[in-house]
Amino acid sequence: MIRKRIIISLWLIILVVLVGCSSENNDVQLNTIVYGLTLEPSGIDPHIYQSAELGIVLRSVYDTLVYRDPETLEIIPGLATSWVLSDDGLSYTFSLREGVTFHDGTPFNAQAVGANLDRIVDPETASQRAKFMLGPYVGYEVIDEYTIRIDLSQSYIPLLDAFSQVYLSIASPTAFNEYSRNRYQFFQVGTGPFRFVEYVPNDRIVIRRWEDYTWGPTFYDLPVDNSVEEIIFRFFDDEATRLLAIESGDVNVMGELPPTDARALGGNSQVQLLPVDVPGQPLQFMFNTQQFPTDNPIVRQALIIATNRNAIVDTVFQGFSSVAWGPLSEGSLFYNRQMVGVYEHNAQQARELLAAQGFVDGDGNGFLDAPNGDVEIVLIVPPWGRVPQVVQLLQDQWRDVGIRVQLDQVPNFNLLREAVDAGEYNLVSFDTPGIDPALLNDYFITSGVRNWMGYSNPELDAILQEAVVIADDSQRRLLYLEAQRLIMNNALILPIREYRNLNATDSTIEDLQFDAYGWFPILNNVRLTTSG
Amino acid sequence: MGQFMIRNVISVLITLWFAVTVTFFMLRVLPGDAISAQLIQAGATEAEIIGQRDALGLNQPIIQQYVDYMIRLIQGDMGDSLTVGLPVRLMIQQQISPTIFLACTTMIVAIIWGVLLGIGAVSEATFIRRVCQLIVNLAISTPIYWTGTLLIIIFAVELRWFPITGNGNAKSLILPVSLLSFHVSGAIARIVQINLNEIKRASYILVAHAKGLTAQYILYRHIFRVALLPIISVIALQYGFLLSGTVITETLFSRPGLGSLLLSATQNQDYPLVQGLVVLTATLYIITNLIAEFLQKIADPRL
Amino acid sequence: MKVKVAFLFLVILVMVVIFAPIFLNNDPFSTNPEISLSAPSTQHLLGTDLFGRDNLSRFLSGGRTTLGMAVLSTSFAGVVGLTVSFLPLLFGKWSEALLVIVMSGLLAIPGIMVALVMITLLGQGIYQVAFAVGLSQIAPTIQICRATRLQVQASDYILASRALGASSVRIAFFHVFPNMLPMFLGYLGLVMSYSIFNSAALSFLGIGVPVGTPDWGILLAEGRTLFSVAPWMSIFPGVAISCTVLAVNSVFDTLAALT
Repeated sequence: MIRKRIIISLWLIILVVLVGCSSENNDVQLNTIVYGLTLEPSGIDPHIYQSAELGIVLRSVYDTLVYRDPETLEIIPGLATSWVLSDDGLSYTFSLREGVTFHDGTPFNAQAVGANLDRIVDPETASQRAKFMLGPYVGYEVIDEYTIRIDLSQSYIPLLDAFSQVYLSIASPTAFNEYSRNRYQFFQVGTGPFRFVEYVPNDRIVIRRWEDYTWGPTFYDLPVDNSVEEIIFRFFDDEATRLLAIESGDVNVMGELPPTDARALGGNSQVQLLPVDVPGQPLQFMFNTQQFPTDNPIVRQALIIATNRNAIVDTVFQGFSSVAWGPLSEGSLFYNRQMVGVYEHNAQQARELLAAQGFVDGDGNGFLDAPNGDVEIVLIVPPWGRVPQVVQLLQDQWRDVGIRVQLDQVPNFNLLREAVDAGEYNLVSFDTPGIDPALLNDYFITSGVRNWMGYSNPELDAILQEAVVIADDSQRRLLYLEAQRLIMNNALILPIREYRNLNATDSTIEDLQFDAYGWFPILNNVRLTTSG
Repeated sequence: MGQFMIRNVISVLITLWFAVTVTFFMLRVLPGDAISAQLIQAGATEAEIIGQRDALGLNQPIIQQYVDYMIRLIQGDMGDSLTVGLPVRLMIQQQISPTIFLACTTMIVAIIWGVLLGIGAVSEATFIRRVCQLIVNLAISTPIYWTGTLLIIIFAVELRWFPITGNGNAKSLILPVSLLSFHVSGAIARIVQINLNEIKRASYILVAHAKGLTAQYILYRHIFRVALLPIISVIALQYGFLLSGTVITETLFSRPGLGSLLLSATQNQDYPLVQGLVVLTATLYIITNLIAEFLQKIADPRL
Repeated sequence: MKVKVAFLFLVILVMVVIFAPIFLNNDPFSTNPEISLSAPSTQHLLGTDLFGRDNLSRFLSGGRTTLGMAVLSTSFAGVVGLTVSFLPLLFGKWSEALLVIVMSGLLAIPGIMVALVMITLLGQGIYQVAFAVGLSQIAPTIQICRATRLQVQASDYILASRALGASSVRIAFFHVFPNMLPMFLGYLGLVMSYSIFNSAALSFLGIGVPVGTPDWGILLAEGRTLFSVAPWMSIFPGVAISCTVLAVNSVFDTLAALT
């Protein structure tokens, strides 16, 4: 009896082992690479979600109406061959490319674009980003099979910029109508150079080259023999394994290396470091102008001056990034170069500024006194962007001028919002990447959804609102230069460093380039080295 | 036997119910949820958020939600994940096989290693005893993510013998299984060692010695049989360790699986997914214990 | 012999951790980017970390945090576990059944989830982590305590005093309780080492004690991410955790055998 049971269990064990050992095999030999991402299980529908990681994959599955040339930053044709802005600025008419089909055979035309717009603005979709990129969108009209007019309630110049981004990708209406809002992300269909094969949350995303692709933008090369044909994306949450995974040959490309590991890479000839600037807002902290003591602009200035940003960049970012001085990074449009050097580090000056505002250390405990106890600054610290490391230096640098820092660590965006809504903070870290400075509006206009500074300034509101209405670039430039100056004059933010994504490739990869937005690789042009 | 079964089924169901209930209310104490977070990110108004939460039944009184959840659970419906939107059951199905496979392989390897190490640690030969003791001590005292990192650096990066990641092929399993089983085997070996030491001193073994039986024979015939019991129970106890160990192992080796799913689901406050995972882990825990109990009965009919 | 070494180690460790920071010149929080990640030297015996903070002083004050948290969560789990497992003796049979249900239900909930939820709820802090780690150890502690109690209750000695007509409360407090202590103490050692492990594991997952707090778990996790540039950083906290766990186990085992 007992023996029989033992034999049966032994058989079961052997069976389990055998089943597990049988490995999957591919019939066709493809040029396959493995690409390491930092994505944790989350949604990857570009119309719904807002992560930059989803774009790394989907930029090559979809086309957009227009593209931004990575060299000149000009808007160039994509699925739309040309476009006309009406004189009153209230409508854009796009002429669409003919002969394009989605990967599922659905023809691409004006109705398809319309269906995409309908999906994005549908409240059921609950779009986190795409909907807001459309600005004052009111609707569209299909003029003919290959012409569509998009109507706005007021002039909105950044619309073309929006249509060049992956979040406004054109997806196959057949596909997204077939699946529910949540299911579509697993069966995505676009017109891009790669087709979507599968997404297993927590495990992998696979895309494969679409042989019939002929309608790419000018900077897409034609495929050759050694062009990459299949890309398997894998996820590496633990940053300590990222460098190890590329050194061991587990992946061929790895994004977001920790800066110390990128520094250590110098001696490795097998692995190349590929730093890419990401335009948009720098890593920044927003001052809460409604909370003591950061309601005082001089205190805010003193805190910026007390911050040694060079030290932060040199240690936390190992010198790979440059110090940020204003609300925009150098790669963004209309960047104000005059901001460089404002509020340069000077601990003594910071102490004097604080003393002039009546903050002194009367009880000699090393910290400045407030009406009740010591002056204390509360920082909301999210886990991303290496903010947890940055704040450790801030804490010590500000202690130096007599400011006590209290850290409020939040594990995710949800709890960051809870903390912001509670209002008991002095600084919170958040920022958005992008090329057109229209992204500043969400933050610095009184009614902006990310106005976590609680700041209201009619002058700044007027400038930012005007800057998205005027078509003339030189006028926009003047407005944004002034906006950046105003923001820094009022010391609304503490900019830390400009974003630079540290990617690495191994020796099998040739020609990995990134698009104008810095986050997204041009996978179409990636080739394998032809040594083998 | 029949009575044994009925009693077990009832106690299993009560245990499950209790675990699910505690989890349900524990999660509801947290502020916010994944849906509100997504909608806030989408810049939705207060009214839209309330509307969406209404549609998902999240605004009902908590008792009502609880009753609804239990009714659906009994029908086998665990709801949809709030972050990814897939049915929880499907998500668990996608992730269960890598974890089960990792856990089972680990257990088999760990039992073999643990028993060998435990026997080695009571060996008459000083050298073997010392080496085994050292390994056992390391296994129970070093944090798993630390040994894991060393393992990756030595075997995947420097020697390039095994890959770090990958799922499905046997080679990618070697490092994670070695890591987990190393730590589990320490605990098993310690119990084996303690029991063997006790039994060695026990009177009936002395009698066996006196009868002139060989050391080998004594060890296998008597000692091992009796030492089996506590080993079985420690294996059931190691289940909890195995689960938290898989969370870390899956993160270290970037493997998919239930451990990393539980981690991200809890952090994202994805209630239905966390609850589904608790139902599953609780069931597995109870089954493991039942099997252990059953094996104990076979090994020692006196119980 | 071995136990003496372990005991001595623990005593020295506690003394060093309590008194050494008083004599140290280096502030564990003082940063100096100029000397970021410098190797061990006479000035900084264990080198410096990414921000140029002195590793030795961080290691020593980290001992305070780690050991303090371990003691806190162990006593929390121990007191609650012992008390709860003891209750059925005073309240009779139905409470025993209730205890079994509660106990097995709690055991079935993954401890790591309990800790995660608690920290999300309470925020990241030393006391919060100690509480969360202790909470996740309560169910196993109840289980062990109950098993011990049943064993003691079944012993000839207790059966004899029951036969002699001693009241159940008297038996509970004067006979069962003292006899449960040895095994309980031995198990506490195990809980303590689990506490050290688990709070270190939480640090690894990024949800342990607040960033910047000197703590062995955090130091080890930080050192691990810097392994390629500064391998010396993780060695001391790693060795310290291992030795402490071994010593605690050994001492508590002996304590259990003695009483």
